[in-house]
Amino acid sequence: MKVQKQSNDTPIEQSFIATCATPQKADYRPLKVALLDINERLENRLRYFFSDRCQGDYVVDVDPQSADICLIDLDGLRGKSYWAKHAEHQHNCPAILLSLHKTEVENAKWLQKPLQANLLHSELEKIREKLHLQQRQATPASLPNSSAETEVALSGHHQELRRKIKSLQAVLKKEEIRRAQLNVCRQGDNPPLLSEPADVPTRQISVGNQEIKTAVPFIGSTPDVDLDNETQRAWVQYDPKKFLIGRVQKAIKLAETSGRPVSISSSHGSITIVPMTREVLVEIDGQRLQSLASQPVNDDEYQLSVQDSVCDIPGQTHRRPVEAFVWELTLWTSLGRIPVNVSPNNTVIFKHWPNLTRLQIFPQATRIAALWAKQTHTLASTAQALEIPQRYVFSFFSAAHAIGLATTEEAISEEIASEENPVKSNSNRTLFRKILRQLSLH
Amino acid sequence: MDNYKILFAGPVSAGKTTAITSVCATPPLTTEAQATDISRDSKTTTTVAMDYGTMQLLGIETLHLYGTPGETRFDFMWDILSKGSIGLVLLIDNTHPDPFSELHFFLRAFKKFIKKSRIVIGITKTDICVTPRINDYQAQLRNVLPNIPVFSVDARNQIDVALLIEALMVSLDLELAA
Ligand SMILES: Nc1nc2c(ncn2[C@@H]2O[C@H](COP(=O)(O)OP(=O)(O)O)[C@@H](O)[C@H]2O)c(=O)[nH]1
Ligand SMILES: [Mg+2]
Repeated sequence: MKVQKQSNDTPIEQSFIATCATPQKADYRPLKVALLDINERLENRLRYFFSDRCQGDYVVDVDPQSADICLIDLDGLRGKSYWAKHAEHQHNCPAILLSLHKTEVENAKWLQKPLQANLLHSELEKIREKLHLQQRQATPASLPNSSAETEVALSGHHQELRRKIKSLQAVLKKEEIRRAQLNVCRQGDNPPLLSEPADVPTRQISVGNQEIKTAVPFIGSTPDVDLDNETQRAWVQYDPKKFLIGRVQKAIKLAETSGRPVSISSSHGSITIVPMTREVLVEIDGQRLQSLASQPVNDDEYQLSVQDSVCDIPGQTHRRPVEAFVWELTLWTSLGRIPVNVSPNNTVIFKHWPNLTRLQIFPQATRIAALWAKQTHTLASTAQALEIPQRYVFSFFSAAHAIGLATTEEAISEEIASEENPVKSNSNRTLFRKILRQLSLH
Repeated sequence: MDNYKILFAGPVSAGKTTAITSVCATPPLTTEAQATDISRDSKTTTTVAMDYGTMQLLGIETLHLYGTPGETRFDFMWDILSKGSIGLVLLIDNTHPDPFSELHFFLRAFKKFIKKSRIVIGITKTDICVTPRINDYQAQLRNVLPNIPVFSVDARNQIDVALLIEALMVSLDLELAA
């Protein structure tokens, strides 16, 4: 069955939006931010910060040449040389510099680490204002930018906003608070943290059910299907074995049994699983890895080999916890689909909430986890209950399944059956086994 | 409004005051005094009555965050502050020699409250001490209080704390919608 999403603006939402909507900003578009020498963990946080707190007002750009703003970590290995290069060739592009210790810089804003979200947000907003001003001066009669890109980004804000309002409304209804109290839009000095509606132009209200643009790399754009229909079901299934994630899971299994690091080498760079520290050393940069993740692999594209020691070249390799790596790689592979080796129509068995602060998060993830923690559902009924497209549920399920936190009923017995096949025992098995046993390794 | 009151609890030095400070746009009201219980980490002050700060949500409503004093000599405040709260954020310090006993102690102390409300757990200082891991905490909770969010949280990090609060809010939302 197909889940029909419908727009249902309630009076509260309407009055709220009417109160808070600002005059239309004709020159709105998400600003592109290049992240230079920013480590992966901070990068993940920034991506989330841009899409959640900043509501997609900023997006990460891999190319500093085309970026509107550059964010440079001066403590990084190449941070200072990036900054020198930037100051020389790109002085028109505003820069924000980060470092642990106070640094005097000219022609750029400096922020201390650990980064304060409030300060960063206000700096970004200042730059936005300045850029808008320059733009207006350059093209006084510029027409509204109505590219599809902008529409999607803006309606993304809007959907997220509506979702949060809805959830808040439910709390309010039960707590029996009078609606009237709600309609006062408090616009104090304090910037709201979770979501900010202040910049939603009125023209966007009619653009109903599109999703946050920044979520697409994780969710894909596959429409809902009828999981009972075999043909349609095949559209939303993928075979992990045919993708890089399959190789990674094989390598993890090998690292577990041998108790030694296992490398996956390829012409793109290498990925090494280190069982002792539960880490992955990745030599391929994030963007490239993302595109590799979604392409089916050739038989000889990746070679697995057991290593005696690990070679960690600073500046070339990223270290990441196995769990965070597998989770993200799965999202990039799944793109809103589910693995073939689970029964899509059976009840989801959810072990526990993932450690979401240390994993790549995307819209709806907390709601799906909260629902599964409370009630048993099938994949399709989850999407229905939460009134969201199935692809969000499928992506969340795939990622949670890959790290051993979710499966469907039938799949469990399959796993037990496969466990009955005796596995060669090895005295080198360490604590690492515990976590690996939870990773899905079939 | 009382209805939007969220309580932060946990042992001394778990990061309650810091967490509230991270998500509140203006410096919260705190009542610090010399610590007597335990002063690990050379932490010399501790919250004696409460911390209080507000976090603006959606621009239409405000969450009121209350931090309870961590020291057990102030445990009478825990009940007082629980009144009217919609949810509990429990912070546990991973560098404590026996964090599980801290966990169980606080779950018992807030048992009545947890029964009728929702709880989320943040494990702090995992950057200093990586074990126990989140899965180990979930294993501890399996028979006591299954299916609750347990996240690694750096109390100094706004996004970590905000995500923990979001998990509390969505859990609460589903609870109430049922
Ligand atoms: N390294 C580290 N320090 C933290 C973390 N969370 C909190 N802290 C620090 O722990 C100390 C105690 O925090 P505080 O908020 O006063 O604890 P409270 O007694 O629970 O209110 C402060 O110095 C915080 O900066 C964390 O995750 N990592
Ligand atoms: Mg305190």
